[in-house]
Amino acid sequence: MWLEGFAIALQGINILHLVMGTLIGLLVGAMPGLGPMFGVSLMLPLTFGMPAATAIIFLSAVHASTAYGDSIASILINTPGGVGSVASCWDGYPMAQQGKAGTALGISSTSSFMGGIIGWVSLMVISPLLILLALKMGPPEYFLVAIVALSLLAMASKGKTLVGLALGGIGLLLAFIGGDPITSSSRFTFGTEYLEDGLPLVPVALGLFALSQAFVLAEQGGTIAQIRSIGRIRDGLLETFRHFTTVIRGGIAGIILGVMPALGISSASIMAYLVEKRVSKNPETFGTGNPRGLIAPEVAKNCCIIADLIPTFTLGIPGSSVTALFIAALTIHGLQPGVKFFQESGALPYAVFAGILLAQISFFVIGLLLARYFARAVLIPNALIVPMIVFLSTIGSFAMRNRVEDILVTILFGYLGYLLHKKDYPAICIVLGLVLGDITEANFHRAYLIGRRSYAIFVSSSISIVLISITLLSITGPYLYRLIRKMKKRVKM
Amino acid sequence: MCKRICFSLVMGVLLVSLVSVDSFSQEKFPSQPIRIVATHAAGGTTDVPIRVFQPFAQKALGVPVVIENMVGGGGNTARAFVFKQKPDGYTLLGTKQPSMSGGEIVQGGKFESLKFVAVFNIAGKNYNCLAVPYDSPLKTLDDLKKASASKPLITAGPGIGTNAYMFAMLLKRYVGINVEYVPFDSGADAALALAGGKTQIGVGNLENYWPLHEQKKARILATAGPERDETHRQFPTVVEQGYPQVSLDEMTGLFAPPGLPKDRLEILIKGFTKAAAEPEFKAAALKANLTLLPLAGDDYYKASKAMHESVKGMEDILKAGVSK
Amino acid sequence: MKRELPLRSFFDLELVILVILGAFAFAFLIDTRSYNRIAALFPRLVSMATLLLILAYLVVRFWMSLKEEQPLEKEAEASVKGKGSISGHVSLAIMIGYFLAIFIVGLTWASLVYLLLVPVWMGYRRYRIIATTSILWVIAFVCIFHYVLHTRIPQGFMGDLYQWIISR
Repeated sequence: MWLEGFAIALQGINILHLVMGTLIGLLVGAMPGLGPMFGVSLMLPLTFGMPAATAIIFLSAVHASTAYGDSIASILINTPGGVGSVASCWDGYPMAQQGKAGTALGISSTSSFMGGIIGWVSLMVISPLLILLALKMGPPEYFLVAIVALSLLAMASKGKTLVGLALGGIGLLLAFIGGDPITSSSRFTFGTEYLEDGLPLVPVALGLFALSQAFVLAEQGGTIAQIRSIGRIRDGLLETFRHFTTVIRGGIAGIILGVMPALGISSASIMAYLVEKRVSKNPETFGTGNPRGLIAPEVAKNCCIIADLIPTFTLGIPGSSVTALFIAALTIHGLQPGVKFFQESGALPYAVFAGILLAQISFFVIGLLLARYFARAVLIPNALIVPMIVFLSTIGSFAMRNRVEDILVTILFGYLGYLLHKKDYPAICIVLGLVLGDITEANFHRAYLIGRRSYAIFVSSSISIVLISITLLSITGPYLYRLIRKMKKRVKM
Repeated sequence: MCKRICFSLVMGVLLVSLVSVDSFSQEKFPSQPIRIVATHAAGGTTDVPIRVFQPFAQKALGVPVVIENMVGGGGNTARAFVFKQKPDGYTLLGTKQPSMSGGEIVQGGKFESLKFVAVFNIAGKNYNCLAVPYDSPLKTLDDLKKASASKPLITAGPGIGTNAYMFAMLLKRYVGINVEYVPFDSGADAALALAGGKTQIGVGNLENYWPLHEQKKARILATAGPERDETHRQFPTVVEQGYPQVSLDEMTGLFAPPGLPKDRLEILIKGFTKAAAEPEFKAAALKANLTLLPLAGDDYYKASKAMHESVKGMEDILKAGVSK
Repeated sequence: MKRELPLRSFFDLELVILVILGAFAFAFLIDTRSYNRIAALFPRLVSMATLLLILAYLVVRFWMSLKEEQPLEKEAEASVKGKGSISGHVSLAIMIGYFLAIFIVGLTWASLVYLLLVPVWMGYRRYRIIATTSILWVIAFVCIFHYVLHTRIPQGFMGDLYQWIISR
């Protein structure tokens, strides 16, 4: 069955669509703000005339390479190509500034590829196990996961903890704007219809990271790369393999967060980055071009993209909004995701999975080939890059919801991001709060309702206890460690 | 230098004039792309029927038909937007009923469902259902009633104001099942929570629960429609068990802003009807698990109005859960 | 002299940022008075915590600035200022201008003008490159958005006026 599947996937027409999908995905991904959701929903109507296998292979290629392409802009111009690659800016861009743009792109391609492979393997092999995990997660557990993630805020703001936590609070408040998740009553909307659904994530992220960058570059003048070099792509490949443990950690983060429907690529990449920083022996090098800081989010992001398909294919329930499109695409072409998926139409399901694997290989190869040309962007003078960033950010924030007000949001947050950058405040804390606000609050209230208005529900499952312990440990850990060391010293004496 | 400026200006003028072709010109209708503004995200249950229909509508009308997903406000953003558009036939609304009426009456949307021009309905008979976790001891409506007598049953479902929510409220009022409604971000999330045993019962679209039922992770007890679902005849309806008021139907179709000229409406109806009659479309719809319910013009308006009236009748029940 | 310096270092950009953020948190807190219990819980908790954190930070900073002689705060970004740099406020003004221009002449024209003007403002003198790249970018995107994606491009006030004139 597998051989037949691969045979179908490797047919000329399917390979052609694979490559086309990859190229389209790279272009869409490289544009600030436009990520896999935009890419796949754009391409979906074009697949109606295609045979089923071709259509799914095409969409998988677009899906995977858009997620990968998002990193290109992050690394080269510090402009997140999508919400999943915000974390890739933090160490990717410094590398570009240091004249190692090619290396960084090499790391990005390799890490994304490995993330995709890890995701694919887990999709094939351990889906049933992961689904059991997903089913065990209920609102109390999701709330606690969000708390664990929020406790990483302290890590994210090392050195300026008070401000970082305050910014996290601001991010949470921004997430609360709009209708509350339970009763839908309007909060902080001043009666405007625009804010009824809350602040849109893409314009805010684009503003805080992309547009603020335009401000900074405008002030800097000159070019991005302070040195006129781009580094060797091959070095990036080798670097990734050297930090294999980072790859594994990122993969785990991607799998776990991908399987859980509520959390997506933005959470996965940011958390992978922060965890990596946490376990590192020299966390202060993160943000200055540490390869691990780029490997972790890249692996997590592409792994999460594939892991999102796990609930999709096993339960027929979308693991993310993009996979809801996948389900629609599969359904329209006559394939039914769920337990009956492999029982139907012979080799077709295997061709689909073969196609997903090939999509990973495809963006890896094409990405590496084109990296050199992309990397030249850092040598363009800022005078041309700045207006381009602004123009692309404007288009990116407008294109998502077709609303002109989103552009204003981008500009305002752009200025805020610029001010924060001047004072070296961690803007990521705002994004972390914004991304996690809804999950935290909604699941808290749901858990409370389910627990019949008693708080006991938060400690009633083994997963909850584990999560609470992780949070407590992560907060008190360093202090406990120091205490134990002091006690050991005293014993010695 | 001068030549360059002139060249650029000419290019620019050409560009602008290409992009701003007037839509009320006296040429044949349609001569520009037709835009369908859908109320929910791509891939969802509102979007899929429209997407399956789109290529056939495009062929029948001879112009591109583009779907724009304007997500927000539970669908009210898109509806309010289209309500204000020029009634030139080039902008249409793709929405479900009675969700539209629900959005207007319960959530206070800025539009009037009955003033929209009903153009064409695509799919219908999309029913909600009631389910329990697979290993639950509750197997019938009576079991649920008895169990809820002492403590309300924790119920998972999509947000307040949705069809599934209406279903839960109807169960509460007419069947006497006391529910504690826990809203999730989507029907799929709610179904997953139910399958994991996090809540005692769940309400939502049949499509959300059927895969779980097949995999023995949930058990569907009853459906919410006026009659049994065609592809899943094994599930009884609540109506046939003695509760005629607990009946919810759902249809997905296209509306136009108020004031659409009669001649353009006729052209659209003719095109859509032709598209819906194509055997390829019917095959595609079957593959996508859609039940087609082609209704045009006045028939569609009548059906929509009937749904609107029934939502109006339930206004007090529905508003109970919403506090603005 | 010693007395003046700490105060001066206190009243700077940092204070402005913190005041803005604090005002936002405070405004939210006030707004929660009109919410129902469920909707108010988290916003109240978080806004109070945020205000406390900001106040705590301000206190710590004030205390530190009184204790030591503060040299002027070193700016975060490297002072490698290449030629043709524009300060943040000017950039903001240009961007707001761009945004308003979208409302007046539409996205196409506003983008074209913006892409042509900014490089010149930043001191880039190779006009041929500016003109070519700007026009190509705008044409590429307008074509993709209008012909491939069939998306509405904001026409602005002038665009609507132009259409109205044509239709007469």
